Amino acid sequence: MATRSPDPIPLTESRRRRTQILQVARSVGFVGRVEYRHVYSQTGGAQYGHGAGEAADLLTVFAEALERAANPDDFSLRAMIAHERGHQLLARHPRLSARLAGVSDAAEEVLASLLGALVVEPGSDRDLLIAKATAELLAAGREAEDAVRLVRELWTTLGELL
Amino acid sequence: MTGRKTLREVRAELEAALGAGPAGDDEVAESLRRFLAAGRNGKGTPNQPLHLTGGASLVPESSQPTGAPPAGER
Repeated sequence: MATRSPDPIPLTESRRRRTQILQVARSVGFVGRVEYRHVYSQTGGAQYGHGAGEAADLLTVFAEALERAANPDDFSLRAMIAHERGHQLLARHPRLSARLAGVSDAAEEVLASLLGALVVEPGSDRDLLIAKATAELLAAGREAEDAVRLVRELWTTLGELL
Repeated sequence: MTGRKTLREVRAELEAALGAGPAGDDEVAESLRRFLAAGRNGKGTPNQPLHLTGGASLVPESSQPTGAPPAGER
């Protein structure tokens, strides 16, 4: 199996990335620890880790997230981190966690994207997270009209629950 | 997890299924239409650029911890 590796970066760049990631994470409401790891992962760029309590939750952002964010044809760093904040809300928000406990992994990805869209300002990041949620429903076999209808319903419901 | 599907792939799948986007004046329909139109107009998503700082010495740090977050960030 071929193994790709990120190019080495100076310590100053690593610190700059961590600062940037921390600012974005706090701006979308992420609670807990935030880490930057200069490695490639199998996550697509970022991952939420469920801790013993909200303050012990962990957001890990990997090297490919920064590479993807630099590509105008890919997700922004804010959108990726907002999606992970969506996972945290699903786990930690009292009303959401009570109502949505036990959903499938596929459903959780859709919900995390929509919650991520709700925690960012209206604009391109919100648009692409709504698009990602819709695409995930299409990939799961939903017809287009049905997928859009479900996204509309979830958007309204999640907005009311938050 | 963020997922490995790129924005370009998401846009292509939505275009195939929704064309220019769903009808309606609700926020979801308008958002999807904006997203698809941005792709057609070649605007993409205005991502924050990655500024790689220059420097004579590149420090490999694939195993280097990021360091403890400042107090109050835990």
